[in-house]
Amino acid sequence: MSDCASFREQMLKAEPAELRGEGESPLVRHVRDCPTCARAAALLLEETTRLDAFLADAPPLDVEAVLARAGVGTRGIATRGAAQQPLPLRLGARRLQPRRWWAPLAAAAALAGLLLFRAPDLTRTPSPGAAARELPELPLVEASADQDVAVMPTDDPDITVVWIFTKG
Amino acid sequence: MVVTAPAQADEIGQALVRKARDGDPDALRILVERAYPTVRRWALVQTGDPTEADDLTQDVLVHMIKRLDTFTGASRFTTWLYTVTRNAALDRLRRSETRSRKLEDPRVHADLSPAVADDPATATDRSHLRTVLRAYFDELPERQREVFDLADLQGIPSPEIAERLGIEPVSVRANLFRARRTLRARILADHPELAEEWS
Repeated sequence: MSDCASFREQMLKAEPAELRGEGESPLVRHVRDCPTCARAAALLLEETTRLDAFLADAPPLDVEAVLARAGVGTRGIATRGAAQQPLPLRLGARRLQPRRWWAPLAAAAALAGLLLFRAPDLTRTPSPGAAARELPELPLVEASADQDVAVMPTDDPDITVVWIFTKG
Repeated sequence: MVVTAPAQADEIGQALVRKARDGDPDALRILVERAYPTVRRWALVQTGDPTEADDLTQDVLVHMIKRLDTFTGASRFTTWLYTVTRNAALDRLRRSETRSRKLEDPRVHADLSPAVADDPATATDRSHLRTVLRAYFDELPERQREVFDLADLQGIPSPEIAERLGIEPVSVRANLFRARRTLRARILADHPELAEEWS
């Protein structure tokens, strides 16, 4: 037992293999014979293994999320330039898309529908400030044959938005 | 796609990296899958905090993908990846320090981990892991932690560690001895019954 203090010191810097009892060094021979030092060596190995297990225990990774964050699409890394400057490139890509000719027509139809539903509301519930005034007449709008018109009343009875746009 | 495979970064070959760099999406996925466990481990060693490590891992993997074209093949892929991880960790640390200086919030200094909405079980696991890591690593400088993990836990030879960390092999040995001494003394100190038997 008197040698244990020096072997304890050796244990602090020993190779893991020596703690496992591999080889024939004085430390290995002592650990084989001394139950206390053998217990200490086993404890050091056990705690090291535990630390290793903690470090190795990685939670599952969502690879697709990482790829998406890196700006990599289904075609692989070739698109990664988009991630380095995501906003301008994406905006650029959007500009390159073909114009949707039907979009203004759809918007006009939706607005016209909205106008038809909203117009009676204007007559029924004027704002307090406008109550004493006459209801505004919708302006007369003339559009050429290749133009469409959308008229949008606002909460302000004095303001009506008229949108004239070219078809197609 | 969810990956639970063990550490496989050492299996990353130049051919796989080349394919990923050339735009092969499957190769890129495999590369990320294989790099992940290793990067996450390094991140955990460097930060000592599981939440910070997860964030850092994501940063590193994204950075790895974006900077893949800077890997020339002159060194091992793991060496290159380790440099990427270290730089990302340092950058993150710098940003955290800047943020905490700006905020002058003592809570930031006490715990750098961001608030996350973990479920109770995960939060308990993370709290336990944080405690264990602090118990082991708090007294070790970052370099000693790295060397101890690479040498004694992962069994990587000293010359390779030296290459990976960009230091001399003799420095690897010196850091390893200091790390072992500190860690093992701490472990033994937590078991006073052994000290009694020795005395």
